[in-house]
Amino acid sequence: MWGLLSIELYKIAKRPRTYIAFAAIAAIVLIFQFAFKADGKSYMDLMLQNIQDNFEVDKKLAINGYFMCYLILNTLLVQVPILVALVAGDSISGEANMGTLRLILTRPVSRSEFLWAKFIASGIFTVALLIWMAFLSLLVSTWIFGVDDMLIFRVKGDESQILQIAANDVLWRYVAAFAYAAVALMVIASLSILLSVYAENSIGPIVATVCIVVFLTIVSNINVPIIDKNVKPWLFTTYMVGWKGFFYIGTDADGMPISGSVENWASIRNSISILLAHIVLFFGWAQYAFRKKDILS
Amino acid sequence: MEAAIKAVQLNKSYKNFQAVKNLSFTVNRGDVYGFLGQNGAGKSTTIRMLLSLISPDSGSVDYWGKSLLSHRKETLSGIGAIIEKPDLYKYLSAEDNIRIFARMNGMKLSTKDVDVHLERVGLVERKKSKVGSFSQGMKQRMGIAVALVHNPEIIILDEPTNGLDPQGIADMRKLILSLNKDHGKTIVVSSHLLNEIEMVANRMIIIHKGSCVVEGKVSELLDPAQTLVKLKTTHPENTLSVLDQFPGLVSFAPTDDHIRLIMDRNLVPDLIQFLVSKNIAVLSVQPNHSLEDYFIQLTQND
Repeated sequence: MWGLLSIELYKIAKRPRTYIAFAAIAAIVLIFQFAFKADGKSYMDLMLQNIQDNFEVDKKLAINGYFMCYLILNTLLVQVPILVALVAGDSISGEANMGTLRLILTRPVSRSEFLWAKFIASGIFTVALLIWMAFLSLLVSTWIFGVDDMLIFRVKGDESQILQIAANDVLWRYVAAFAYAAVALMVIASLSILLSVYAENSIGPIVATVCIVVFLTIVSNINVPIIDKNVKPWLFTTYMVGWKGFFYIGTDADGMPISGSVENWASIRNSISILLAHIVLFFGWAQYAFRKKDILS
Repeated sequence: MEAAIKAVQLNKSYKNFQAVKNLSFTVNRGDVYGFLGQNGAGKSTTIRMLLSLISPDSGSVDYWGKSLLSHRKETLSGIGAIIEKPDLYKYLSAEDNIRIFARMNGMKLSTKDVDVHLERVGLVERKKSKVGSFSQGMKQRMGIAVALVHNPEIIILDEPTNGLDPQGIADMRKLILSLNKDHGKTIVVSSHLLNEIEMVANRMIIIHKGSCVVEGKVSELLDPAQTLVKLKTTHPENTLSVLDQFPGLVSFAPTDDHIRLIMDRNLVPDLIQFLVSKNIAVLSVQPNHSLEDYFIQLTQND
């Protein structure tokens, strides 16, 4: 098993397409940082236009490393599934397309262990992407913009809110948010692997994964009561942005933020459970299909 | 002779198409066993079943007396194979490829080991080159190096000369014979070319539309004195059960509407007399082709 995993990691590391994901993330993060360094005030003016009559915000301090990281994650974590699908969607179908799948499976390699190795390697790739993202968006941003209390702009129901988190209460939330994102992205990886088992070329599962994610994300954003109640709770896309829950700080009776607290732990636990259930479903299905599959490629 | 591979009553269908039909054969230890059939005859499907890449609908494959299904990993560790063309990781070097496939067999190769394996196929000087830059012949040789890296007892080669130039074909032939004679390997080699099988194999099977046409020693099957006889009787099942008792048959196999025999043409009258003595009425006997002619006819008809 470890031998297979090390082979998979070696192959991922040697493929040029692996680095497209890292380069894409670096490019987007750097553009964000450059734009905010050059003209962050305009963005804050736009964000605060509805509430600046009621709140006084020091815009210069508001744009700090923590805020930048939140902003970048908010944008990037919608796109990262595509990058994960690039590697995971290619895992089995890419081998079939190259003709190496049949060669591997004539070796004393268990199909189940081979798929586990692919799954774990995809997981390690996903975590590596997130660490890279954390390095760029958190560490580099705090180096460029400094550290201060973090402001979160939130729309809850009909009202807009600004949440303030003390600087010394932020870091653990990012660690938790990145861990949550890793689980959410593993749903994408397991879906891609499942589709990859059924395909003989790399493009099909990658495109299919992206299409499914886009379609379900749209459904997750349709605000119709019947869908809210009966459909959304079952879609993994509903929970993809659940990492934000770690930044919705709990408040006391006077509405003051409580350090170290989260508004709704139960909701986060529920989201993680549903995401894990999707991983088990998709990967279990992939295992079943792969063990039964006739290798015709 | 000890059986290295024994396939019994293999069947495989895809939707409405039956690719392999009641196929049985035995490969003995030390054989170079030829698998002959035109394109689409079911050779690759059968070979994939031998390697557990495809599950048969029914039937079994045993290696050294053990079921492939229940001893898959153990069995595959003693087999090296190239299926159709030897596709390897094009973005990796020859050295990386050989190390990866050795690792899958639980082996860690030293630099010296890598050199020995690549030297055997004349690629040691290109060990740092990416396989994607190799010619077809070099890829084929690379495939052989990968197939042999774990020193398997059985080597299965599916159409190993496809895409090779005449020199490459000659080298492959030499390699197969050397692996068999000098290293004692049991080899299964498939081809759609009779002369290719004739030059390397000691035993062979011809399959057509997924069924066995004939199986036996190459020297006997391709002996010009041997004739292919199509026999029809009133009781085919009884006929099959008594044919073993008739001396002089090289082989026999049932088809959909007749029994196909390979035998000396001069023994046909004795055969008729033998069947009559067993109370089996003969409806027709057609001793009209040599095996070689018959194979050519099969190829031309389709």
